[in-house]
Amino acid sequence: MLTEVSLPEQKRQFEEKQVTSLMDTAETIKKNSLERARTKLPPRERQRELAGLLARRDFVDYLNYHLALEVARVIASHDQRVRTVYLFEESANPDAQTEEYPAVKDLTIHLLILVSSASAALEAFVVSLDRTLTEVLNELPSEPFAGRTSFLNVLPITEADIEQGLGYAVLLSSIHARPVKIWQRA
Amino acid sequence: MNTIKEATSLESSTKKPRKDMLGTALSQLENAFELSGLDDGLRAFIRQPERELTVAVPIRLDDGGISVFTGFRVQHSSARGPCKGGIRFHPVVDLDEIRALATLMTIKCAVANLPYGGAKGGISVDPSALSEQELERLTRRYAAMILPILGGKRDIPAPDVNTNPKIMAWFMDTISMIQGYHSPEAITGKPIELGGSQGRMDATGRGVAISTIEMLKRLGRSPEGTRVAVQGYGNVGYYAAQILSQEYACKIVSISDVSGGLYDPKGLPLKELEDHVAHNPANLLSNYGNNGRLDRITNEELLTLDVDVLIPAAIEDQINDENAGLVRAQILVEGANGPTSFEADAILRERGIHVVPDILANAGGVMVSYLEWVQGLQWLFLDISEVHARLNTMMQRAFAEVWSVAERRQIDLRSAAFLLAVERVASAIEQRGIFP
Repeated sequence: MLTEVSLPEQKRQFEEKQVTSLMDTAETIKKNSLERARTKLPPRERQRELAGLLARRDFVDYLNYHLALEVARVIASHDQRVRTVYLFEESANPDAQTEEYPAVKDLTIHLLILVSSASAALEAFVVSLDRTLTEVLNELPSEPFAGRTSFLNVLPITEADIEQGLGYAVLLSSIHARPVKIWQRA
Repeated sequence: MNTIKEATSLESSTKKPRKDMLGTALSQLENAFELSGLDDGLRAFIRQPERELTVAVPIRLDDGGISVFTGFRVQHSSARGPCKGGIRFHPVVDLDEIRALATLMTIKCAVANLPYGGAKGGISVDPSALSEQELERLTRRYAAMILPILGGKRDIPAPDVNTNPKIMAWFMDTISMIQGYHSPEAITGKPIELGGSQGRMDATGRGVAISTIEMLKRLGRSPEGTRVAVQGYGNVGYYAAQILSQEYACKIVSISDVSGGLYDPKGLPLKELEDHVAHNPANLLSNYGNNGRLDRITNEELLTLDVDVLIPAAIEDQINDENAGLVRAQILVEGANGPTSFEADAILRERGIHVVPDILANAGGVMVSYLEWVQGLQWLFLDISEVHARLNTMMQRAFAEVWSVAERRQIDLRSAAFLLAVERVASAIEQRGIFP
């Protein structure tokens, strides 16, 4: 039997479905990233409980890197305008990269996204993904993860920005804070 | 079908960079040659790196396979002492870049009057793509392969892009194991427990703050109440702002990070902001819930604020020919490396804006590296107050010497710094003579 559904209800159901889908995506991002970060550790360390691993700077570094890879893949799959994704750290001076080990890790994932054209839709998607991913990562047994309300800092740039050296596009010609390309459309 | 692919760890990450920053810096070297009147022979001697080593670094991967990475170490000059310079791990490291950065290290050490020449090294690798064991094996193999030209009295590496105290500890251990004795003097940027120095964390920012104060003094201005804007809230900008505010009573009216900036002409609540960034969402200023008390501005707007001192401490090439004419600060202190383009530098000079160049302003990091090396040689370790006092003295002296050259020759501080450095290196070469 078919049930007639009102337009507002249809919209609500559609949005719920989107949220559920995004939640699944965020869970997959977390799961894959945790698995891959574990493989980076020495074998006898890999089976340790997650709370202990999340207290280690090296594990958190690996986790952040794999979160970035996963997020880049998701964003690029979502929007065909995305051409390349770069991971960067906000660092002014390598001489200043002397924080004692282990140090408090900036958990923000800074991504530069080269797009063929600016898009409000992409920005909206990133906001939604950040919100959902944050919800998922807040469940990790680690105070720094649990206490945050955002993880993504995604900066879209265009070829014109790169050519003119505008804003953070200038990083692509940096020699001290050069981003690493983590995804590229073939 | 989805036609996307993931970049491999060894793939070149960006279109070839440099030229802007390196080209600018190296052209300053040529300007310094002209100002110095050095003969062609000495110019050729200084331009050319003394020694370049390229190594193929094989490692066993966790899956049993083998990968081979390319590593470099370039010693630009040892005329004034052992070579000094960082080691970077990055996918697009190459010999040209390492060579140019080694040259700049010679200049930087000479400006700071440290008894060092310049060096730089690196491996073409994305370290995040390696496991910890692979990274350790890579570091140790690379250290062993360049060891013949390293040592506390030959060439002292330090952290640079994507390398850290932990990697320096592996480096030191490898050198110590092969040599058969503990060698803390062979590496700087080590963890404190292994002979790292106190005071490295804020060294560069502290140096920037001291440079700012020295500049203010030369202009007959009191630091108290001086309005300062800081672009960049990383290790350099953060500490520069804190130190200028707390130790010198400057008024920090604006700061920014990658997410944008905050502005209050009456002065920012730095302690509140510090707490916010440390404990709140995303560690970014943009999430600061200030209830409208502070104006939110962009990074670009920060650069043109009506302030006394502007400290670009974020990324390169922020002040360019498009916005240099709009800068309203009277003093610009380069906390970042290369924040001012060549064209912008000329515009600022014409407008009478005093620029404290990066090779002087952010030399605090290498100065504390020097103190770490001295502590490693002497096995006598300084407490934080001693490190601060010595850094203060060294920065003040370096500033005074550059200022003196600028006054005497009626040139800007950047030209003066390069000239002073070139003359010091040339003088060392001439006094030592050419062996044999």
